[in-house]
Amino acid sequence: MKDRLAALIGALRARGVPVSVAEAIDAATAAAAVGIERVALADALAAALVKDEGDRALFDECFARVFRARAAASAAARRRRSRTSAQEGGDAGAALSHGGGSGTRGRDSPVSAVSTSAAATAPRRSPAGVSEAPPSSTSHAPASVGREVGGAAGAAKNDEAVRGASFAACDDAGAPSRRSMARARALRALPFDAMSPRDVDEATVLVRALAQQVSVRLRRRLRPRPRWRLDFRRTLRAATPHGGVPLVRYFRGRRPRPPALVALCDLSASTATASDFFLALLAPAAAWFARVRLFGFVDRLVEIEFVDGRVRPAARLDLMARSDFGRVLADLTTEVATDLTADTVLLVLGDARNNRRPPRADLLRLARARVRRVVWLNPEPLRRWDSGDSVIGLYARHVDVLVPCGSIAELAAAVAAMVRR
Amino acid sequence: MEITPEAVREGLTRARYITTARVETVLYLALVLEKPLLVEGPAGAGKTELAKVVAAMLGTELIRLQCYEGLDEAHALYEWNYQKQLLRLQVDRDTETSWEELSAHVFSRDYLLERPLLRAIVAPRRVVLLIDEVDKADEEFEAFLLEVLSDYQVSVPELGTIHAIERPVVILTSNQRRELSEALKRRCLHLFLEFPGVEKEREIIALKVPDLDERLRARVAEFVAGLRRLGLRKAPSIAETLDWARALVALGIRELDADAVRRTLAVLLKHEEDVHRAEPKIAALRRR
Repeated sequence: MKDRLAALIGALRARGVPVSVAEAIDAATAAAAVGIERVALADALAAALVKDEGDRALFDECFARVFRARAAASAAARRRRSRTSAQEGGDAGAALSHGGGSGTRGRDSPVSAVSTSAAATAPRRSPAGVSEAPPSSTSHAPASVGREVGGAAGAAKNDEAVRGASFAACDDAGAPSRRSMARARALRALPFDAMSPRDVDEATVLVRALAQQVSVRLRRRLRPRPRWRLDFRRTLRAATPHGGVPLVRYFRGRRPRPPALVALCDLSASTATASDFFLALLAPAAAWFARVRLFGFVDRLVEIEFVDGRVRPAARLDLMARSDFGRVLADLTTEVATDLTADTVLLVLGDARNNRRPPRADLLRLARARVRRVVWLNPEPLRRWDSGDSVIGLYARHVDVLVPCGSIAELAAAVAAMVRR
Repeated sequence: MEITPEAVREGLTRARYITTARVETVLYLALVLEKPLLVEGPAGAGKTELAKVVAAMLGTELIRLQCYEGLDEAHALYEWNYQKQLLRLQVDRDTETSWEELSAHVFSRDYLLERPLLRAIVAPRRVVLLIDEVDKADEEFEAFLLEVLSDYQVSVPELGTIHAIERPVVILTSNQRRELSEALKRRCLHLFLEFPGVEKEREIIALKVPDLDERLRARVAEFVAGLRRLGLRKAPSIAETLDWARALVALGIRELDADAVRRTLAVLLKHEEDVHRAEPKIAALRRR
């Protein structure tokens, strides 16, 4: 049992599911507590090892592979099938009949169910731990199942794969919310440059929800904090009826002054997706800043508006031009100079790929001296920073915060960090 | 009660909670291993109810901590009862008490306002502690929670460390408004509570609204399951299904025709856009 458990944990880790030592111990204790009844064992181990429901299908797959005692498995499968039919009747039935046509739970029906579930199974993590979107054209042929499990083609392996996935099929059939949750999670972690147009569409909805949260959060931060300083006068006055004993204390809090915001977004093709999402995140929060000025740039600075999810520049902006951060910074320190005040947060979203033009980092230093904070968001992955024509290293010296924002998750974290003070 | 898988199953049935084998298994584990149980899932799938049922099952008290943004230790753990301390000092003013006596007195347990976490820890018998919607609390609070959940002890500077007499059964719920920290997840057993399937939901309706006749019950369960598949902004919860069933009984509706559904849809769907989205599909959903 110990070996099997170790194999299972190894398999999970290899697929990118994080399993700590403490969780491994929990799993062992859990297994000892529930015994060897297959379904209960799977549930128990999953509860201890899998903390992200998006990984459950993966777990079931690994579980089936590791605990492959055939006789027991087929018996459990029979029991499981009857249990599932009783439990999730309509839903599971619908999924099965979708694949198998007649909906009878015969010998071959799990196979047909698998083909649908394999296509529907939410994005899985690759060994590197990076989520990947499901291939948009997963074939519905049972052959795809072999590929799902790692390129196994032999009949025996295939059989095993079928069993593993049919586990997932039973569970996933009635779980639209679970699937969408896994999808949302995958989208959040997906790098912008790997997004397909369909991903972008779905992510837009996600970003709208996130933007709401950011807005709420910002509003909370700007609420007066009552527990700051004793309001002496009020406390004393309230104490008079109690013979001067201050039974009730009153506190006074200063309302935090909302910062002003100047945001510069790189609209060139390489960072366009990141910019769009960034603006979408910021747009509902705009009301909570004292002043907001949004600018877009490629080779020069143009004031933009963000309306109904679209960027609307005030003047013509050549999106095909070559980025020139130096000139943009020059524009910033001359034309926008009056808006760079002591309570301004200056936000820059850009990859700092300057096409070998003068970077003018001195202008950024100048700007920083005038504002409260400079926050730079770089949509490029960390390893590409300072490679080729990237001058992010030069700018990094003159910003307060420099964060990567290559995916929605990073972007949201960056905006949240910006809101926090 | 002695904790065995069978006892848990029976206990849940006795507490009138219908659920799957998975929930039973994981709940049994949480009780046996004495680990906190993190329950995630869509709103309205019965997460909070599960905690209430566990308390009923064990015949013990449920202590509930509702999380919100800005929740701090003073509201979650303990606070000194300032007014009471002050009164004490007033009373003691004329008596000759030394400083040591006095401070030992006003900083004793009598002057401590116990908030849910502390109450769960000092309870003389095993209680159920429900930490509801932990995803709404700040990250700082989550970190603080880690300390409490791993050792079941709390330190009050003036009193010293207070250990749990009986480890409470801790159930945390989350609607996944944000990702919880890995550290918190690691310390908990995980359970994903999905909406019940059609069969289970029918059983639930049968149990909670016995007046609804059997045929209609099946139609209600199927219709609601169909609605949940539409990807609405807010899918109808189990409680709403039950409300709907009660509404149908109250209105004396015997047949689930399109008109009846339209008249009562407001019980199930609470967003205008969801109603607009569902209305054209009523006929299709009914036929399913």
